[in-house]
Amino acid sequence: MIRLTIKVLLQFLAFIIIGISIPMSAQETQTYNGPLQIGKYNGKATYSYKLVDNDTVLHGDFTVLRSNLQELLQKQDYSFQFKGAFVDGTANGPWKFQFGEFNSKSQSEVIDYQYRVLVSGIQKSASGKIQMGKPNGKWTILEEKIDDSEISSTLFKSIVSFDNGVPQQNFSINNENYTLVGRFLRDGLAHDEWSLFPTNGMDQSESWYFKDGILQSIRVDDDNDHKTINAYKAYNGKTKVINLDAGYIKALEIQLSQVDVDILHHNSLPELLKQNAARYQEVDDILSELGKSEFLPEFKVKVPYYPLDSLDESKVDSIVAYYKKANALSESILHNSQLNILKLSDVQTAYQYNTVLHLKENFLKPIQEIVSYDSLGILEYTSRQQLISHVFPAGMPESKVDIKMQIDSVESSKSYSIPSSVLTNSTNSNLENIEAVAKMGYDGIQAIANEVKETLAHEKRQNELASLEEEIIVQNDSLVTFIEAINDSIPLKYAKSLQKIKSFASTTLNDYSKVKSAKNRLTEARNTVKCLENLNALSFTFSQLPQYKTTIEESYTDRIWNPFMATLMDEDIKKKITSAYSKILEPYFLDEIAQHLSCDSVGALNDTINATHTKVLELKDKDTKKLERKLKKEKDPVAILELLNVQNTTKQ
Amino acid sequence: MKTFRTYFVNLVFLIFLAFQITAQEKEVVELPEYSKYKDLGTKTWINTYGNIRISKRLFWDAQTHLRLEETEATPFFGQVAQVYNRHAIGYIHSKYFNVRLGGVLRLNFNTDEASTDRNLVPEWRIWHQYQFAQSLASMMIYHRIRIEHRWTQSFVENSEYIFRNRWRYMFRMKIPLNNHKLKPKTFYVAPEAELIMQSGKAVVASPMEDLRLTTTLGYILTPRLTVAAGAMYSQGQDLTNGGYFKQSWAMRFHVYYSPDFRKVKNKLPEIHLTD
Repeated sequence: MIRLTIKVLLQFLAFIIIGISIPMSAQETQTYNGPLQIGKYNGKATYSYKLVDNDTVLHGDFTVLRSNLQELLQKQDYSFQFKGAFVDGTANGPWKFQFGEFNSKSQSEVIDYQYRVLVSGIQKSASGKIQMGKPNGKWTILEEKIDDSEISSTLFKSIVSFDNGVPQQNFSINNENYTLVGRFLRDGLAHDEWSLFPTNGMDQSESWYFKDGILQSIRVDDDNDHKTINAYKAYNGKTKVINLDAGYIKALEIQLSQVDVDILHHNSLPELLKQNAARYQEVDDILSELGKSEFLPEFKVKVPYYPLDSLDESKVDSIVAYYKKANALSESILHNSQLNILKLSDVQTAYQYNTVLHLKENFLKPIQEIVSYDSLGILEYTSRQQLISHVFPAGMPESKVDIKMQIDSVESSKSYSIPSSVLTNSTNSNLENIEAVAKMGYDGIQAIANEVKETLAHEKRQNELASLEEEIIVQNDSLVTFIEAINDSIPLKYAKSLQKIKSFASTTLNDYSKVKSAKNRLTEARNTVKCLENLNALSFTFSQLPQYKTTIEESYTDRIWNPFMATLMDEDIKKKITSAYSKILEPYFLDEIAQHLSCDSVGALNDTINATHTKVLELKDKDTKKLERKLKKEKDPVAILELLNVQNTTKQ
Repeated sequence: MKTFRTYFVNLVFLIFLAFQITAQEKEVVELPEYSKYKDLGTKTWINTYGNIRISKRLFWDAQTHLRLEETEATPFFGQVAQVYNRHAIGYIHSKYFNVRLGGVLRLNFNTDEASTDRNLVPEWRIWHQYQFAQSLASMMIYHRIRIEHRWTQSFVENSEYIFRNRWRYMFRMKIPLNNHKLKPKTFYVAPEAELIMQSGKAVVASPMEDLRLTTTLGYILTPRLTVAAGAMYSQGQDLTNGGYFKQSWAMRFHVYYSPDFRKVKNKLPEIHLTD
């Protein structure tokens, strides 16, 4: 009996525990009210959510909005309002997105007990249904210009019907200039007539005829004429489904003659589609921030497909590599200012320069086009033959040409043959021939780059030597002028050192003039300039030495109050340091000039003198008791420099 | 003759003192018909002046003076006459004005060789001083007002203290000799004149205690150390009888020192005062 009761009790307990835990684990939705940041949008949100593994998963109605009257009245306000619903974190149900940028002239009116402020600006909106993150049903995207709270014009409008993300049936897109209407098959492929006509009605209109996604022909109508351009009408090979975008148009253009390309509106059809896609992207960005989303319309078409195998791909890669190297070289040659000047007077340089121009025009330019197709990923959408006849309309470039030059209005020409190991050959595959052209272009430019390098290097050496020698004279003149100018105004012992510097400079100059070999001359010229620069710096430092001494003496003088005289008196402080400078170091510097001046040491000596001066001044306010004790015993200038922690490099 | 007169004057002075204390009212002092100068005495003063900086504006004035006097056998420094201990706290108001206040303990030795009285008596003073300095061309001029409140007693056993005030004014110049201003390594000459007046119950007919005329030659060794030596002639009325004037010649030797033990970092920005 008791046992029975316990069993019942246990059952009851189990029931209670399960009864409590079920509602706990059940994902109850909660509501949030407060600020929310979605990408660049920061507004006030109200939404329902539930917690799954401690993550907030949106579930239920969702609203976020922002508008600020204060800002609107003061300057400008951006407002937005996103309204819709989520199911398990994925957008689902009717949605509306509104973005606006408004300003107000602070005009207001009172209507029905409400203040109304008239606004002007742009209002963008997107509305339609979403089914589990994908557009479903009719979506309308609008961009309207608002003047004084009235719609004054429609800047953009697109109406597309979707079935679970795939565009369906009819669509229309228009901006200020063009309107595009067309229709899709159930699988989203373009079908039947797509018409592009100008909003103003003046321009020509185009009709693009698709059949099951493949563009058959384009009919261009203007006021008094019409023309039909054939596209992939005759094609019945392999096809591939791709997006109708700028790349598709480019691939199409490879098929068309230049005349036809010029007739067509310049990319206005893909431009409209691009504008449309950008707006869908805006919505997708917002939805992606909040949960899962695949909100991008894909307008699909079919193109002929000529796949590249791995061998072909490696050929394309090497074409791209050749082009990049050749292009960089040709740019550096064509933009070299020295070559540009030299080519006006030197036949050889003019020949080299014009050869590079020729190679660029005939080899690099067509290859560049192919490289651009590769970067768009459309090389597979055209036959190789079509590609070659598009980029080389006049046939493959020749490896031998006559290069024309003109110097002082005298024309001449010289034959040129590309020094390349490969040539185009009709038995080769088309891609092999394109690769050969790319390599020929590169080899040709590379060869000239090597020749030009030598010309430039020689020219550079000559120029450098000339300017170095000029510099030598300038430096020496300035040294002599400086020393003579200050000679009378500084104490004799310093003046003597300066005279020594002057005579040393003249010796250095003499030594340089004796150098004969051209190669050594350049090195020597560099050394001499450096030496003279250092001598200039040193003579300036020497002209400062009396000043340095005074500065140190003044700095190491304290004004002391003498109470018996009631006057301030100067007191020399830290005499060990000042006397080490004036009695040992300065004479040492003077002696170095007199005895050990050399081009190798002059820079270091100058640095040591200046560093010593700076260091001695720094020591004034530092605790130097220990240093002063050491200085008391030390008489060797090199050791003193070490004690002062000044790098002494004059003597090794 | 001279020694006899000195002896005689001293004797009279002592007798007078004795009478003054024991029978002051009984003795009538008679002024001579004409003022009379006593014999010249000779002295030697050896003085140290310490001026120890204790803060930006305060200093401790520590002076010790040793004063010697002639004896019959030895002029100028035959015997110790007084030992001074003069101290004060001073305040530097500016380069041109300072004040100080302090006390003096002077030990007076009985210089009367014949006296049988006490050999040593203390004398106490409170003093305050106001010194004005000004520069004139290359020299400095000083006006010193020193006021002293002194308590003295005679050498006679159990004599009582008498209280007097001293009113001192000194005019002094310091003229640099080998420089355009007073700075280290400079000799200077310092002529000075000081008039010391006194007042108090005991002062009846002798208000002019002393007039000192001095010339000193000094040498500034460093901003913190100066030495000087000079000669002083002084004369003044005898306290007991205003008709009699004491007079003396003194050699004076001075050492002036002014250490500053403050840390460099405290001292540096403050030396200049309001300069």
